[in-house]
Amino acid sequence: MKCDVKQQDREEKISLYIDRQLDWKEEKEFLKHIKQCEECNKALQQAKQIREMLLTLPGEDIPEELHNDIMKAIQKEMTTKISPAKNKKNIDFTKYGALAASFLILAVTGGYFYNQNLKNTSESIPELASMSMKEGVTAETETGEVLPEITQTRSKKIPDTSKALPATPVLGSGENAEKKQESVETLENNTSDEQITEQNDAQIASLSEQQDVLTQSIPEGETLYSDKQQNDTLLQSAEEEPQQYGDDTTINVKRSMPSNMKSKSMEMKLSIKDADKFVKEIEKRTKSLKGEIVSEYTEGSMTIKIPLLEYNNMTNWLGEQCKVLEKNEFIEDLAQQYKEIQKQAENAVSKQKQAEQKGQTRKAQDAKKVQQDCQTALEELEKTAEFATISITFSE
Amino acid sequence: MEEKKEQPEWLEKARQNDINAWEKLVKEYESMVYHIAYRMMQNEQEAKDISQEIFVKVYRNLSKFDEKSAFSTWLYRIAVNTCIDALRKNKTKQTISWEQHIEQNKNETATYQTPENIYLQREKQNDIMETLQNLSPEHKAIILMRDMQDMTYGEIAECLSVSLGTVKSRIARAREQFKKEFLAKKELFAMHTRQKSISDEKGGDSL
Repeated sequence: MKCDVKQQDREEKISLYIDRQLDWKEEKEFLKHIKQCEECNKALQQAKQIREMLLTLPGEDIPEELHNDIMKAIQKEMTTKISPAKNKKNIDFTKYGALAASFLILAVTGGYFYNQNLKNTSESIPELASMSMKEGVTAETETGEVLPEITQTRSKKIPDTSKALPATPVLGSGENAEKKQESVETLENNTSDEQITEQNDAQIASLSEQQDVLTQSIPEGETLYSDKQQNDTLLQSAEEEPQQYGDDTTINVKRSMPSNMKSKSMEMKLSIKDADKFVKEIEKRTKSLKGEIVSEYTEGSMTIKIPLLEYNNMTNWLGEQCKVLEKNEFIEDLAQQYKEIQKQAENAVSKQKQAEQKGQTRKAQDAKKVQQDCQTALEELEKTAEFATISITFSE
Repeated sequence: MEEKKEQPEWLEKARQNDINAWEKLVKEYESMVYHIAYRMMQNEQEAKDISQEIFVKVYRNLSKFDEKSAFSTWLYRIAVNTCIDALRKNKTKQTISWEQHIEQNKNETATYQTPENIYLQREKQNDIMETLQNLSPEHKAIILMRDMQDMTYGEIAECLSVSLGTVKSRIARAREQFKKEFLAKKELFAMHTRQKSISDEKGGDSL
């Protein structure tokens, strides 16, 4: 069957699906289509592989000299920021000071001579000239003494002036906030014509849950988590969760609930001959999937935590390696708990605002503390939902 | 009105040019900044220069930081914008054609003496970095944030000061572009390898 979905639309859906940004209805449709369409399924697998590749790209070593180089650049900035401008101001001021003083002396002495000795004007000119020169020098010295104070006042303003120069980075508020967007705007222009359905904030978090598309790609493996189960879970979760939750008054860092607030766990009983050897392989695979060993292998059992995205991958792999004697999956809905904490956080925000308006600093601080605690609790819940727990018992 | 966020304790001192506070600031963020710079510029020397430039900009603009976002978000924004601007200035340097690349690396590939897995790993990294090099600075930045540093959509939106909808479409476009470039590169290399093996066979026959 030839796929009639446009290339651009396909890539967009795939991208949103990978990051769990589709709402449950869209996701359901997408999965249905993927099952039937080889072309889209291939594109999805490629996209997943590319993301995995990019995520696992190793970091670069930081050059040893980097810290010192940066500090030197900042120190240089600290010293040069004031000095050149200050010198410039000094020179200008001295020049203008001397000039002003000369004019003043000329005016005063000229007036004096004009009034006192009109007859001797021709003789007084050289005298006047030499006097004005002399006075000019004196005035310069005098201004020099006054200068430090004036320069100091001016030098305080210098940083602001220098910041207004073109070299200023594109940041800050007011006028600069416009500049700040410069890089971003160009990008926005490229995409402004794209009409993307704005999904609600409940999908901010990119919590990813493994879908049956991945299990399809695992050959011959025992699928432990069926499509129906998945979709039912999704349906259930979407019905329970309001589409919009949280606004600006809630905690700023994580304002909305991730789309799938569920804690997933699996208890497996496996039949294996060489448990010790197999445990090592499990540990290795857990680490490679960015999971963690919750409890080491003792008395025939162990517990691991696996990122939700890799949950099916891991359980299927376990199923492939040995005979599964028993398996039980548990899904606990954390959405209600999450919402309750969010409500508490919201209340705390309004309490803080009220207290601030009334000038009750202590009450405001207490309310802020409650918000912080709520935030920590929400983060922990999110973390719980991001990982699945697998408890394995071995039987020979 | 947006509330101010809690900031690191050294921030006020850094505003007053306290060198110890700056030591702390740089120590805490130099690694983050260098990684952004390296992945955007893909060159150690340029990454070092840009890292310095980023911190100098932070110094010059610290008085303008309104504390309505986390300091790290503000710094991240400066870093990404500085790199995008630098890449725009270097436009000519930015893209390489895959044909050119194959020519340049024709002999290089044969000189690897490392075990196969190391070689493959390195080759994969090179492929990724080279594909990134052919993306626009904006696409490169978005791939860096979402797919290399695993930032959430919300964090990216805050960092770029754009809506979630814009972030979604930008990520999709950037990924599409990356995939196109990456697959084209793979295809071209495969073609080159086929041609090479055919010519080797012919050479073998003549001997």
